[in-house]
Amino acid sequence: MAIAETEVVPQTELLDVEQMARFVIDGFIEFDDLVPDELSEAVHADELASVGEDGPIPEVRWHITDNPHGFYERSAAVRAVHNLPRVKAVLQSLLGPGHVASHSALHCTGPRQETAQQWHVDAGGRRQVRLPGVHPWSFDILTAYFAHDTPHEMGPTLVLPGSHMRSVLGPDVARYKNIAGQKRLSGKAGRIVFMHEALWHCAQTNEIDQWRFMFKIRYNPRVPQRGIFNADGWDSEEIRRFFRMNKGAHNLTGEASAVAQERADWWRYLCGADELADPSGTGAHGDYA
Amino acid sequence: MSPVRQQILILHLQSGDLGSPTVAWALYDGALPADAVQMQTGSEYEVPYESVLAAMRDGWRVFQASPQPERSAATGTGQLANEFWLERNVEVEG
Repeated sequence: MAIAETEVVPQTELLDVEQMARFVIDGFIEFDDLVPDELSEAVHADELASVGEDGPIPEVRWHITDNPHGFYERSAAVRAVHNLPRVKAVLQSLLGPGHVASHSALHCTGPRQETAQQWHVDAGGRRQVRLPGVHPWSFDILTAYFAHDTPHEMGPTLVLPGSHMRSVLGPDVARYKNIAGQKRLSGKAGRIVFMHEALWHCAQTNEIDQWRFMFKIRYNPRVPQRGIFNADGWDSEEIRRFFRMNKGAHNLTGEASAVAQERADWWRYLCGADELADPSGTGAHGDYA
Repeated sequence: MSPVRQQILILHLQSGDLGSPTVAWALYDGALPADAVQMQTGSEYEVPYESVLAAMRDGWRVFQASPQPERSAATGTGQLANEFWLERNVEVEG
């Protein structure tokens, strides 16, 4: 059963243009200071109680129909994390009011796990290859919450910044192994990352003697994702400069110009601009590209 | 004579020039036994070769290259372009 969000967060608490522009460039935004330490410690205790000698206990093993929210329903602490006002403000900024948690899962990686997950995109992939009728700028959000310290050698999720702009289907990127710019979401306990659904990612090896946990929720929007964050200053010279400075960000094999054009169009859509496309038609005249 | 096994190295380059910088790499090693761990995602942060030319100088043989990408601003982007498959044969214990 999906869990719907019904409250509406005040405008002043929403993401600002600098944060949203960073999300547009990278395909994710991460926070280290949203979750109080004691709450993360409580979640970690619930996580440790969810694994035994045979791995995750049946109550938290994810199943799309029979157990779509096992750990979420079992842990009051993890529910509290995702109901924190600042967490809800980020979610509403990206998804709009009324968004729905379609499913969630506790990902458990045992000590000394020598094999990593293959690169993939969750459930479908980039918007151009999604079903007809889905708005081209619609996206889901995946949250990745780490309740305990996750240093590099513990192997927190690997992401490829900027890959959310690529049109691929889920498992078709498994051929790749190492890619320039890849980044492990290492950090201190309480880190929570909000990822665009099309971001390439994979779980990593765990080189230390402790279980690694990552709790994920996939959220669906229920409204058009435009004008739903604090867009004050969206057309300022600072923001234009930011996009120009980042025109080549995450360029790997020569796609920078095409991506800059698409980012500019998406930015205008996100900000509720009257004209969705660059009036010049080129995206290359100092206008975000 | 020792049996020979194939190793495949897949390199993606910044441009179509075989001397341009490597931006992605994967090694599939046919010399490893089935229970050995192959190259894993996120296992390396330094390129094995600066370019395809550098790999060739170390004995790798190019046997396939991706076609020139058909791209435009309108079509967006997808998989990594400029993909080169290289191989070398290595002896294993019989």
